[in-house]
Amino acid sequence: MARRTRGGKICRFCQDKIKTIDYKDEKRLMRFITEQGKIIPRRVTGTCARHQRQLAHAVKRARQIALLPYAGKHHRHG
Amino acid sequence: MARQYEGTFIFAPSLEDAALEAAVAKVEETVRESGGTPGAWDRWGKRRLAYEIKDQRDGYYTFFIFETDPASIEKLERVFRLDENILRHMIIVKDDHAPESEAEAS
Repeated sequence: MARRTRGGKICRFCQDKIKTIDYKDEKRLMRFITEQGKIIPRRVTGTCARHQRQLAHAVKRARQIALLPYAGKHHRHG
Repeated sequence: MARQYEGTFIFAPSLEDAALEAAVAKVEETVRESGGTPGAWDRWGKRRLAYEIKDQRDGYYTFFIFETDPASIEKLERVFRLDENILRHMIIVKDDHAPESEAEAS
């Protein structure tokens, strides 16, 4: 995947001065999950520990209310 | 002591306007009955779901702020779970100081 979308050395949330990550902010969260819907590790995105913890939590909530997929965008149909 | 909660309610997309209003009113009424105080609604409208719920691809998203006693959350959950107009709901503690402590369910 392209380097830009994977982020860099600094935490994007700190940069944007976001105190609490909102689980309803699906557009933002989407940048931190893979095509398969997995949360991208902070070693890749550069997110700080505090925000990564919040991010994981927010993503899990977003999944519960079907804002984000549990298993990828193009999932299997029955 | 009452706490502030934020509930997400995804209603069935097949609901007519009147039925939707009734379903929304019912949620408010349920909260009131349990001794809570309903607050503001934030309606997103119809939206594609990330995955199918109850064979539906779309849902009507609403977010609802309310205050109630933590003890009544369980009762509320049960009522919402049984409501067939609600595809999915989630209640979280709206507490800016402790984003890590909460009670949630699907």
